[in-house]
Amino acid sequence: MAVDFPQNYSVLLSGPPGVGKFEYCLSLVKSWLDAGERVVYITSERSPVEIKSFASRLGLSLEGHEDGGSLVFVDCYSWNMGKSYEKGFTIKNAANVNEINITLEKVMEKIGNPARIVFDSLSPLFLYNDVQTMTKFFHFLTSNAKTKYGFIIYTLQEGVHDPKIRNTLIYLVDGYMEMQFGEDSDVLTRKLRVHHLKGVSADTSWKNFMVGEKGFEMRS
Amino acid sequence: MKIMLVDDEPDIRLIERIILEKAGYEVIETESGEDCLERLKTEKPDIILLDVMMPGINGWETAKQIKGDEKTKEIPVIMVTVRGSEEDMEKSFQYGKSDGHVSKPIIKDKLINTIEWILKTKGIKGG
Repeated sequence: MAVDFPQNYSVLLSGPPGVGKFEYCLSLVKSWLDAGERVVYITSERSPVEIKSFASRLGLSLEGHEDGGSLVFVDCYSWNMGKSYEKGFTIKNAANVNEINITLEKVMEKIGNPARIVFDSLSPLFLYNDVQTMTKFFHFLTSNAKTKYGFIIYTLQEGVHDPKIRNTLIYLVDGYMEMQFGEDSDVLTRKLRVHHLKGVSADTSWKNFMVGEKGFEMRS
Repeated sequence: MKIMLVDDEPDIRLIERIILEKAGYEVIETESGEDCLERLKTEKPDIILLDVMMPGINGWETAKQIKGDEKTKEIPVIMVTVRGSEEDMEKSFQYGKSDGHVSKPIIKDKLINTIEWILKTKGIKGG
């Protein structure tokens, strides 16, 4: 689904685990990089090495963009295993969300504004931080993304948080998109819809998509 | 990996068992909240799938007791229910302290992906 997200904007994308949020983010990252934009990928559910390997398998190779400075990974995943990501930035403890803010500030100083930020996903951080801390962190980061950094899209796992958490986060962003599994004549389907995008005219109906060999693909 | 199913409907347990065993999980079946709590004295599943609407102790109360017991509080609990309203989900997370929520009718990929995600993020299963 080609959505032309504005600058100085924030979006939340929620859906159940495995529905296709990651593949959608990868397709966004690739299209932004191809258009010459800078991208910061904050990852908490897989390592940057896994992400690049997966992207390559889908024909969405991200190679070269890191060396060229247009793509930077902030790794919030590897700390739990005592590892770090040499080519990017590694968060030493995701239980300290301030470290993510400080690191992102350093990243943005390095690559310059504006950039597209992908935060995939917020959900594991709720295991290490209380809801109040996470809400403040989210509010602060979203404000910075909108006023300084340029743009941010967050992903959130559905079905593993109290719905009140999701509703609070929706209230704090400009746009909300959601994904769902469905069944059509016993065939598994995946659907995406734009729930709302402030100031942007968008079709809000459910659209089917596929996660296949080429990653994320809308179905006609 | 061992999963405990708690549901009073044998047909639902059968569907869940087929899905989980195909995905490589070992399954323990229990048919009520009381049965589940009793079996937890001798069994240590890696995750529990808990129906909400059951005769006797309902799923929310069962989850609360699991999460209130030092011996079982670390076991992830996923509520599986036809009751999919936000109020019901809030009750699962706030009262039952559950770790996840999956609605019926069960969609295989949604159930398996949710289980895998919870096991992975809690460090019970490698990613």
